[in-house]
Amino acid sequence: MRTSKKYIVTGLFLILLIILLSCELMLGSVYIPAQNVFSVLTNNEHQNEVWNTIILQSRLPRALGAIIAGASLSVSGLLMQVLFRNPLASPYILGISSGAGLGVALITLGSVGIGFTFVPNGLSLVASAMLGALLVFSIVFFISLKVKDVMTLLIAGVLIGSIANAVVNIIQLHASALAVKTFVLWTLASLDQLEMTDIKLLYIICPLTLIGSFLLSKQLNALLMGEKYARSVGVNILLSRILIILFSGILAASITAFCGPIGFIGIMVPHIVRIIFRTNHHKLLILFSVLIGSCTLLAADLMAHYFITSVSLPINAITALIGIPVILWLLLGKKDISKTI
Amino acid sequence: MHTILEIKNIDVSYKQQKVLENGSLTLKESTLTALLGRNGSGKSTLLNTISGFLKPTKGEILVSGVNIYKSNPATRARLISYLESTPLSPQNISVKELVAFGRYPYLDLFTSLSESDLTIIHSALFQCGLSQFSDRFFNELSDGEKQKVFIARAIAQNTPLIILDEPTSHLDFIARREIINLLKTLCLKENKTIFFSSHEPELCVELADRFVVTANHTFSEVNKTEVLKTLINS
Repeated sequence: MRTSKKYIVTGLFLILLIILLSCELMLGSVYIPAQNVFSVLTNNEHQNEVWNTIILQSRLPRALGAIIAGASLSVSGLLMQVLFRNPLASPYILGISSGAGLGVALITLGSVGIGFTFVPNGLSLVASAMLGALLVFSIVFFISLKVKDVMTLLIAGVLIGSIANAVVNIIQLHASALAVKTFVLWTLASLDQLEMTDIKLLYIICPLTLIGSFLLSKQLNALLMGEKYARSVGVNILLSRILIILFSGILAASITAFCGPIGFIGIMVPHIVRIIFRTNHHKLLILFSVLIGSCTLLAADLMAHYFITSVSLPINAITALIGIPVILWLLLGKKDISKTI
Repeated sequence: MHTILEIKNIDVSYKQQKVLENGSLTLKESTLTALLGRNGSGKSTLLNTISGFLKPTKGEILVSGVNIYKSNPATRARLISYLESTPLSPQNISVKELVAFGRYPYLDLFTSLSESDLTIIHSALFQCGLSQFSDRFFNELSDGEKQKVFIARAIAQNTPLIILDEPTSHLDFIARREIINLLKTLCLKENKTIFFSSHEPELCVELADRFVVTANHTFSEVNKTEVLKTLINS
């Protein structure tokens, strides 16, 4: 794609982002006109109290959450795809979501086993998911320091994730129906529970990590040609690998802790970016993944709330139903997708 | 003429097995040296060792006077460019972008390509006859053109020593000659020291300046007239 064309497409996606963001704030169970949304956001007095609450405590955190989660998961997936040279790699390939799931399972389901019933609240869910994700991540990270071949790490990550899943299965067997439902709902992922304090935290951690990933562009580019080649142009392979795993892990773990394991975005968006922009230059890939990832998750969340207003549909169902046909359509138009990375 | 590469009494083992023993070699500026030898005789091992990928168990390797196993990856990348025998061919990357990878050893975390980097990249493309290809996608080129792109990348890396592992494999007989001729031109015009492995003694004898043969767990320099004889007897 020519540079001028890139600017135009970028501009179009920016406009799309603004439209989606406005829709997210205006539409839902209650329609709020644009000028009122604007005056709520700009802290204007004499507002409808209900609208105030809806926008500031529900729709705004969700919209901001969708933007940062979409951006973070897309870049996290991109990093894994480059590291493993595998088009199917996702932010969760190293077991982050399984670890978070284990943490959540222990707190929602496991408490029954030790004789008391714990009703999880938002904070305890986030904390347990974070701890579970960090546990698996630390194991995988430790392994990454030991192994020479990155494929060994990939297999180890998948295996450790499977162990976490196995423990979850055992716990589920002994849990109450209600507890299982709480857990299953968590695995479906949602942005509804996000509060402004969560958003503030996410907007500190994720942008810093995204900037870190952006600064790795050169190393990522060189890795396209293989590790040996990258070494020959002076890339410190071990350090780059550690940073890639660290940044991807932080992004995936923090989003999963707050929103649950949001699926497909992390695999889908990097491919959409490569197919639309026909580039493998990582500065551009990361920037466009942030932009298109935000748009995609915003759109998915909008659909989750727009079609049936009484209950919000699970994000993962929407990303799968809408995203998979899109990615299939894009993939079928490509001759040799295995070589795109 | 300056000495560029100095290999002093090295032993090299690969997977606990001794591949090369007690080898020494000195290469001066502006020489095109061919490395010949049977399959499995240690050509790639020797080139990997010189390029900093495989530490010798004994002896040392100096490039422009710098011990490459005592220097960091960035310093090494300013001394040696290395071309793999079977490089990957990624999609969606333009010829110019790929050649620009050669400038990475000169960029730090926050800088991107400067005007002078771009000038170097364009001149590298020009020297390899690739100016008209610069915006084409790399994976759409022929194998011969791809090899030239890799050589242009090595030129952009601006190192005194260029190592190529079988640069002419997979190429037709005209492209092979083109590639070796291009290397020869670089030695003469840019004062590069180029060391490449090959399975074509006739072509090498015709175009290269010096000849090294790997045989019997070591390597040594031979005369032009002895290349074939040494190979047959090895």
